[in-house]
Amino acid sequence: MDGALLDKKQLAERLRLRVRVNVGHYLDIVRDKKTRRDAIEQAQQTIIAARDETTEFVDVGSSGRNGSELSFRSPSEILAMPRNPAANFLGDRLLGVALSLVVAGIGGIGKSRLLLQLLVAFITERIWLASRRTTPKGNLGCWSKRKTESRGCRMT
Amino acid sequence: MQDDLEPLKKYAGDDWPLVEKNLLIHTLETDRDIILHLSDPKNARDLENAIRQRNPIGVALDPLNELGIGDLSKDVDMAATCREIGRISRTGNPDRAIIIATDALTGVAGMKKAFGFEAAGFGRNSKVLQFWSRASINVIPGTEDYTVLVLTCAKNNNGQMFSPFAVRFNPERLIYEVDQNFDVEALRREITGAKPVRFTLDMIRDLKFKEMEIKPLAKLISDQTGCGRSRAYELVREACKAKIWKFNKLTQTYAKA
Repeated sequence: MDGALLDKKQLAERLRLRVRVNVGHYLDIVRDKKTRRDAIEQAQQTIIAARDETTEFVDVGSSGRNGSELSFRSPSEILAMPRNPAANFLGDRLLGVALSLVVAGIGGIGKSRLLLQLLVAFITERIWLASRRTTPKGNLGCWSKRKTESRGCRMT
Repeated sequence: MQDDLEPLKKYAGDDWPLVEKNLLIHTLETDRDIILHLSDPKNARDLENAIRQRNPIGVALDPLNELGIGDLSKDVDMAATCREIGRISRTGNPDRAIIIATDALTGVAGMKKAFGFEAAGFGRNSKVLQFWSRASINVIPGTEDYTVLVLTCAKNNNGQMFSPFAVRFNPERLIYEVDQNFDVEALRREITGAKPVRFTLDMIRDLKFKEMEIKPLAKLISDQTGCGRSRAYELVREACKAKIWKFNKLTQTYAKA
């Protein structure tokens, strides 16, 4: 059939199929646009509230992920959430996207030096604490996104 | 700071421009830089603005007591500090990673807590910080001069905890490197007062292996029996002396006699 002319009936059938297949995709776009419109509207309201010094300023930084004050998701929503293969930064998820790591040690032991070495290893995609050729015991490694995509890891 | 960064520049080599581009360090230069307690709303706002402006993927705070709100030994103040750190660090991006360096208990009594069931209680002050974090690494001295440090895993909510291991400060490269020969178990026994386990030839008599060089053989013994690497080397020599194993001078390998 490729290259041959389609009759009206076949053409209509093909278009119908194409629309049906893509309807989910189009709905996603509509939903995304709606979320963005809401976010812009919310932000504009926040700007107005922040500018008006007579009203109490509402902090939007501590709100939940899904628009409400606290984050709630159904099990199916959680299962449907995309997995980020680059979400792990250190070892077996010792540190990663949205994770927090505490390094405890007595004062002057070398925590800051270790930490700085960790950050440099992370940015340059080296294995933390490993010499050039060996793999550290305990399989502590550092992974990050590809170097070109690295947005950075900062120390305050 | 220059002394710390210079060796890291060598360590990073050709990748240093990446570090230059992606790492920003808050330096202590004026009085304003020094006092950053989050109990002052201005400090919190300035930090929040700095993080929002640069939009990093992670924030490291070192040390915690320079940022704390109130008395960090009190749960309520530590909880307020953790909440504020989380809010500030994740401003504009809830996926941002956070690392916090904090002081730990001193002396042998403190070191004891770095291992085992008590590991989560190694950090100083309120334990709210340990509950709040997803993972925690304890750092204790392996030697009195701190050239060797032992890292233990206090908790890892999202993955497997790693086995304790030692790192040694390399005086030439001025960085820490894993020291596979340091006997962490011996240190643990020494500080916890646990009864030493005697690693005898009987424990390796039935070890199954073909011809092996000493290094992998010592690793095998260490993995199988749990003894330190130095004791594993001793056991190899003892096994040869007792004619359980034989050494092939030509191939430099060990095999069963």
